[in-house]
Parts: sequence; C-alpha cells; structure tokens
Amino acid sequence: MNAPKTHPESEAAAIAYGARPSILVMAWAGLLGYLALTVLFVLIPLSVQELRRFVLAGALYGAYGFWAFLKLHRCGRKLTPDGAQLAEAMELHRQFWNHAPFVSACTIPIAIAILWPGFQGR
Amino acid sequence: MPPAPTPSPWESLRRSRWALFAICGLMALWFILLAFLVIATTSHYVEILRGRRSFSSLLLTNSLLPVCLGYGVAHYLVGRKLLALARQSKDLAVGAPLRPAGEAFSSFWKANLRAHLLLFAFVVSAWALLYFLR
Repeated sequence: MNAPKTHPESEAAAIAYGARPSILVMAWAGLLGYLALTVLFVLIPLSVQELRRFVLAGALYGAYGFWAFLKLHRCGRKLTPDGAQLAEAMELHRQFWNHAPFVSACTIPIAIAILWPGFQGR
Repeated sequence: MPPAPTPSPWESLRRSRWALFAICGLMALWFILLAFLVIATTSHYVEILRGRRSFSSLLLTNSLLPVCLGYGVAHYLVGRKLLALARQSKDLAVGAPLRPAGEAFSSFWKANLRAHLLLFAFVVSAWALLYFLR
C-alpha cells in the first residue's frame, strides 16, 4: 500500500516546526540576557564619571537587542506543526536576522567604551 | 494604504541570505578579536614577569582562554550549520525543493542551542577549575 503523499510545502513546514523549542529557548535566553546587559550598560556608565555620556547609548543598545530577540520569540511562537503561520514566522525570522548583525556589531564600540578605563588601569 | 501581503515563507528565507552570510563573517571577526585579546593580555603579563614564567604557562592561567576556546569550538560547529542555511537560502528559487531548506533551518537552530549550552558548560567548568587550582 502506498503511503499518502504529502504536499512538499507542508512537509517542509513540519520539518521547520522541529526548530520551535530551540528558537524559543534561544529567544528567552536573548531576552533575559539583553535585559541584564541593559542594566549593566546603564549602571556601569552611571557609576564611572568619564562614562556618563555613554548611558543613553548603553540603554538604546540594550533596548535594540531586546527588541530584536522579541521578534525571534514571536517567530518561535508562530511555528506550528501544520505550518498555518509559517509565512509570518519566516518573515519575523528574516527581520530578526536583518537586525542581528547590527546588534552584534554594536557590541564592539560599547564593550570598548566600558573596558577602556580598565585597560588604562583606572 | 492596505498593508503589503506577507511573502511566502521560502521567499522570506531567501531574502534573509545576506544577513545570514553577514553574521557568519561577524562570528569569525569576534573570534579573531577574542584571540587577540587573549594574546594581548598574556603578553602584557609576560612583559611584567619577564624571565620568571613562560608564555605558555601564563596562557594556561589566563581566564579568557576558556572563553576563547569555547567560543571558537561552539561557533565553528554552529557556523557550519549557519553557512549551510545561508547557502540553502541562496539557492531557493521558484520550484526548488523546499525540504532541504526546512531541514537546514531546523538543523541550524538545534545546533545553535546545543553549541550555546556547550559553550556555557565549558566556560563555567573551566573557570571553576581555574579558581580551585589557583
């Protein structure tokens, strides 16, 4: 007896659904991580006189990372076994990856600004 | 104006290919910067303690070394999957088989989670070891 044929799109959607737990765990880790980073990037410049001018940059960076991971979280929630919301999920996935390189690249100047006084022995 | 219709899932994945390639490059750049930081901090101490301890013994006690090694291994593992997903996204065209793209997507996210857990466990245990051996 032949097995019932599945539509290639729904078959691919069912495979993509396998990524849902990993995406949700990574999204939660990112959301909590950026919440912690935002607190750090605001508190450290507030406690060091020379870094006061970076408070806004730190807060904006943290909020930007949090917002990007919020998109990933929404993407994970929209992945279902039947692929009913796969189009929205993949669009959110695209939006997350469009921002991820900028979130990652912004870490360099912020980290240097915070680590610089440490390197100079202050 | 009515909102633009959501593109098909595979079209969205195809459009994200440049960002996926960019993040592959950034991961490599981060590793190079981290390796430079490890060498720079170790060299700094070598200069202070010149003649008393060797570079390799100081390198082994540098607490940034586990982070650098863990980052390198974990991101090599996940980078391969990300590159595979980016290549699959690039090859997605009308009428192309969708199964490989779905598999690459799922496989990348599973590997991503495993690699980050591995990195976390490795760094925490290495730091604990360095702390107790001090």
